[in-house]
Amino acid sequence: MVVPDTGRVEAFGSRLAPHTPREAIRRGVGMVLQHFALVPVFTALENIVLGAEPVSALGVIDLASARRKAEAVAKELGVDLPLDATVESLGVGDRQRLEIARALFRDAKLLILDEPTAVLTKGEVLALYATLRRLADAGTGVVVVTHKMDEVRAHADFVTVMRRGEVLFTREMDRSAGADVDAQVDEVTAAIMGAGAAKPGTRDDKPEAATEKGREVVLSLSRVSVGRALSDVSLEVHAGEIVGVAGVEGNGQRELVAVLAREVHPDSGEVTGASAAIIREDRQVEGLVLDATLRDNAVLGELGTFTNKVGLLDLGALEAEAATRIARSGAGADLDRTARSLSGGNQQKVVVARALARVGAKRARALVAAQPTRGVDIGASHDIHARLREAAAGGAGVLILSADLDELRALCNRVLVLARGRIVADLPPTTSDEELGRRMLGVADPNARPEAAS
Amino acid sequence: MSALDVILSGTMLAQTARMTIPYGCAALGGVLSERSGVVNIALEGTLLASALAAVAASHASGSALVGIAAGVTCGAAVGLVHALLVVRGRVDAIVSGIALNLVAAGGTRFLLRALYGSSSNSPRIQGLRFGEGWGLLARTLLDPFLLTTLAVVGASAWMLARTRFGLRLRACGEDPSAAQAVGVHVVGMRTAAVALGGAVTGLGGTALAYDLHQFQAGMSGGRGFIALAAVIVSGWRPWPAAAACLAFAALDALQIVLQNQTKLPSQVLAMLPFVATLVALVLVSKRRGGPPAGLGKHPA
Amino acid sequence: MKLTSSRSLPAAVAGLAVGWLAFCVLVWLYGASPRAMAGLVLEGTWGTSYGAGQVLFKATPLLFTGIAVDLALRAGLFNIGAEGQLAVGSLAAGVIGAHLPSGTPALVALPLALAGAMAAGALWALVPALLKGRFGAHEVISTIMMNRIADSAVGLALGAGGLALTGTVRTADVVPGARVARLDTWLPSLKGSAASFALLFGIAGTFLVTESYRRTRFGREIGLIGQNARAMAAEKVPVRARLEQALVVSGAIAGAASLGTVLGYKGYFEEGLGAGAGFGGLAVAILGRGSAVGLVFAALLFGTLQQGGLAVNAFVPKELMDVLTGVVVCAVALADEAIGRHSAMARRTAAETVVS
Repeated sequence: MVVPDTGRVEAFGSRLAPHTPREAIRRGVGMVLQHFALVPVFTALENIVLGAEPVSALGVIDLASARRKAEAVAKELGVDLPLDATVESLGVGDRQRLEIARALFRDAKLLILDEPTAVLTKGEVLALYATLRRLADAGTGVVVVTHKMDEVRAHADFVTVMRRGEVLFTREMDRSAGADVDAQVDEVTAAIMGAGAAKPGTRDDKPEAATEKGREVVLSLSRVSVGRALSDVSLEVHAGEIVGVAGVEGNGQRELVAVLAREVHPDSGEVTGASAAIIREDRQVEGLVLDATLRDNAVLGELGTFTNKVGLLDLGALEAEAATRIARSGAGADLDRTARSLSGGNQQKVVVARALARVGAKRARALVAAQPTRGVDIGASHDIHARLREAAAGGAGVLILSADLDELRALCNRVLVLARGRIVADLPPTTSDEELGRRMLGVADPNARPEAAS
Repeated sequence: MSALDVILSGTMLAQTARMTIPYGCAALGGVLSERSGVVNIALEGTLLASALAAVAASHASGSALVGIAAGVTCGAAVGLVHALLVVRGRVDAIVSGIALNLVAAGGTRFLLRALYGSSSNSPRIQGLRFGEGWGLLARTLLDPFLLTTLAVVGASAWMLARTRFGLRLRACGEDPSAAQAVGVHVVGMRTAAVALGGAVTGLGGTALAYDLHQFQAGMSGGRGFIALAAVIVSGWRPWPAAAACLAFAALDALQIVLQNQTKLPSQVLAMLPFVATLVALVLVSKRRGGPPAGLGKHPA
Repeated sequence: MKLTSSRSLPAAVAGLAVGWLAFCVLVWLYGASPRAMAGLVLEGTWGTSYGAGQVLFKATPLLFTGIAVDLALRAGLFNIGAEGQLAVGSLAAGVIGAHLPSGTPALVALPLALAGAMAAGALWALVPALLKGRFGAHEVISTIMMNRIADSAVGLALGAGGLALTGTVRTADVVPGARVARLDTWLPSLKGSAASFALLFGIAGTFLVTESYRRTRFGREIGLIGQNARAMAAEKVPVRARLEQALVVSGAIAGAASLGTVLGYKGYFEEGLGAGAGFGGLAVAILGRGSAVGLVFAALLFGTLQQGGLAVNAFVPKELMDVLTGVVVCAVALADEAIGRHSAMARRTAAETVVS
C-alpha cells in the first residue's frame, strides 16, 4: 500500500513486484489492519470471498463451495464464524476473526496483524492469541504489531523493537525453565520508551510547572462512561493547574475529548465546569479550514464577536485580533497565507493560539489539549509548551492528553494514566519513564493486587 | 365517462405501462451507477440523446432493431463519458451531470436541425412493429420493450446479488477503500457500472422515442430526474425502483388521461409527478435504507 | 480574500481553448467554415453597437443567476433551481409592477417590484432549503423539481389565476415608475438593443455580493462551511441554518434577474421570459468562480455565445452554443481538477521541505 522510497521488500524469497496489495495477497501475505477492510453491509461470507470469489457459470458466485472452504478455514482457526451475519452486526472480536479467516481463505502463509488487541476485551485477547498459536503451530508465520507488553510477555516467540522509524533489535524470547521473562520484557520496555537514548534537542525539563494551585475546580468528570471506550472516568482540573493524561492512542482519548467538548453525552456520569477551549487532535480535519487564510483560521467560529447589528464585520477589529493571535503564535506574520501552506508545527501553533486567546479573554476557564505537539518539530513544541504554561499561570485549568512522556513531565503538576478507557493511575511528574510506560502499556503494577491490573 | 371510469380504464393501464419503461430504465441506470458509488444526474440527458440516436438510426436504416442498438450504444457512450470525467478525472459528479445534460439538450436540437432541418421534431418513424390486431391488453402487457425492461430489472437484481461482478460493484459503492485493499479494481468497476447503466437508460430513451414515433426536442420532460428520485426512495434497489417508477408513470398517465375529464387546469395535473417526487423525498428521509456508504467517495 | 483565485485562471483559459476547438469541429462537421462562422459571431456581437447592446442585454440575467449559483456553490450547495426561481420572481415583478398606482415614483416602484421578485425567488428556494435542512433531501433533485413545478405554477397563475391579460400569456404593463431605462437613453450608439440599466445593477450587485463574502459574517461563514463543514461544526457554528439561508439568499438573487427581463426589457411578464438564464447561470458560476471580475467576464462570454448563436443561425443552428456551454463547463472543471491536483502535489512537496 505504501511504496518505499529506497530499499526493497521481499516476500518468501523473491522481490515483491508489482508492489500492490493484490500481489502481496497472491504471494501469500495476509494483513489484518487496524481499521478493518470489511464492507459493513455485506455478510461475513461475502466479505471473505470479495476479490477471490469462486465462480461457476455466467460469473455466478459459487456460494456453496465458498461456504465449504470458509467453514474449513474456521475449523482450522478453531473459531466459530457466523458466516451469514452482516459485518455491522458483529462485534469487534468476530470482525477480527473474520479478517484473519479472509487472509487464510486466500491461503496466506504469513499473517501480519496491526494492533489487533486495541479494541478487544480481555477474553477476546486470549481467544485471539489461542487462534494465532494454533496457526503458528500449523506452520503459518504470524507477526503482531503491538505496544502491549503483557502480550509480549505471554505470547511472543521473537520480539523486534522499533522506535522512531528504525529497528533497534530483534531478540528471541527465552522461555526455558529458569529464564527471567520479566527482565527480558523490562529490557524491551526500556528500549521502546527510549531510556538511555540521547534526547534530541534541549527541553525545558524543570518541572517548574508546579504552579500554585487554586482550589477552584474548573473542569471535572464524575464517573463518566461512554460505550466501550470510557469506563467510570473521574477527574478534576483546578484553576492554575496543568493535568496530564498519559496514554497510547486508542485507549479512549477521542471519546474523552468529545465528552469534554460537550459533543457526546456520556452514558452515565456527569461533566461539570464551564465550557473549555479545545485543541483537537486532528488539526487538519477539525481544527483548521486548510484552504482558508490564517486570518480566517485565527478567529474560526468567532465571527459573531466582530459583527455589528447589520451583519457587517468590523474588519479592522478582526484583522487586529487575528494579527495579534498569529503574531503570538509565532507561525509567521502573513495573514493571507492559507493554513495548508504552513508546516504541521506552524498549523498547530495557530490552533493553539486560537484556543489560548479564548482562555485569555476569559471566555473559557479551562483548556483541553489533545496531542498538542504531535507531528510538530522541537522548536514549535517548545513554544507551544510555553504558551500552555502561560495559560495555567493566568488562572486557567489545563488538561493535556498526550502519548509523549517528556512533554507531560515537563508541563504537568500531575499525570493521570488512561488505559483501555479507565484512569488507572494518578502519578507525580517525577515518576520514572519505566513506571509510566508500564502503566500506559497495561502492565500490572507489581506492587498492586491482581484486580488492579488494567 | 366519469373521471373514475377513465382512471380505471384500459387506456390508463396501457399508458402507465408504456410510461414505466423510460422511467424504469433510467432509474435502473441510476441504480447501477450509484450502487457502484458514482452519482449520476445525467440520466435526463442520456434519455434524450439515446432517443435521438434511435430515431436517427432507424430512420436512416429503415430498421427498428438498428435504432434500438444505436440508442443503447449512445446511452452507454454518455455513461462512459460521465465515468471518465468523474472516476478518472475526479470532476465533481454533479458538475459533470449538469454539463452532460446541457450538451444533450443543445446537441439534440443541433442534430435535429442538422439532420432534418427542423428545430423541434424529427420525421416520423415506424418504431417497433408489434402486435398488429391484438387487443389492447395483450399489446400492452406483451410489449417487447416492457418485457425487456422487466427482464433487465430482474437481471440487474440477480446480477447484483449473485454474481462476482455484482458483489464487486456493490463493494465499490459501499466501501471503495476496503474494496481496493482486497484487490478490486475500483476505477475499472465503476466505469463499467456507469457505462452499463447508461446503456440501460439508453433502452429507455429508445422506447420513449418509439412510443411517440418521432423525436421531439426536450421529450424527456424531466423524467430522468424523477427517475433519480425513484432510485432514492427505493433504497437503490432494482425492483423497488421499478415499482416507484410505476407509481410515477401512473401519475404521468393520469395527467394525460384526465386532461379532458376534469375542470382542473392542465397545469395542476402536469405538476403532479414533480410534487409527488418532493413528497416522496420527505417521506423516505427517516428510513433506514440510505445510499451506498461510499457514494461519491474515491478510494483512499 | 483576494478577488481572483490564482487557480481558476489557467483552468478558465484551458476551458475556453477546448471550447474553441469544439466550435471548430462542430461547425466543420455541419458543413460550414469555422472561420466564416467565427467571423459572423464577432460581427453579430461586438462588431456592431446593436450587437454589443444585445450581448449586454443577454448577459444581464446571466449575471444575476451566476451570482446566485456561485453563492450557493461557495456553501457547497448546488442550486440548479435558478430557472424556476427566476420565473416566479419575474412573475412577481410583473404583477407587482402592474398593480401599483400609476403615478408611483421610481424611487418607490422599482424597489417594491424588485423586493417582490426577490421574495418570490427566496420563497421558491425555501422549499428545497427546508427539505435539505430538515429531511436531508439532496438539493439537486428538489431544486430541479421546483423548476418543473414553477413552469406549471406560473402558467396556472397566468391562466386560471387570472393574472394574465385575457387571451394572452402576459401580465399587464408595469407602471412607468417600475421600469428600468434602456441603456440607449444614455448611450445612443446602442440604439435599438434591449440592454438596460439592469446591467449596471447586475455588475454592482456582483461586486457587492463578492465583497460580502469578505465583509459580512454570513458571507464568510458560508465560504468556510463549503471548505470544511466539520471544522465549522466543531467550532459550534450553526452549519445547518447557514446552508438553508444560503439556498434562500441564492433564490432571492436569482429572482432579481427579472430586473433585466421584465422591468428592463419588456415592461411586463410573459410566459417563458428569461428561460435558459437559470442554466446559463450555472455555467457562469462554474467559469467565474467566486471572483467578481470572473463572473462578469463569464456572463459576457455566455451572453456573446447566445447572441452569436442568433447571428449564425441561418448557417449553423444556434443550439450549437448550448453544446459549447456544456463542453466549456466540463473542460473548465476537468482543467481545474488537474491543475488543483498538480499544485496540491507541489504544495505538499514544498511544505515537506519546510518541516525539517
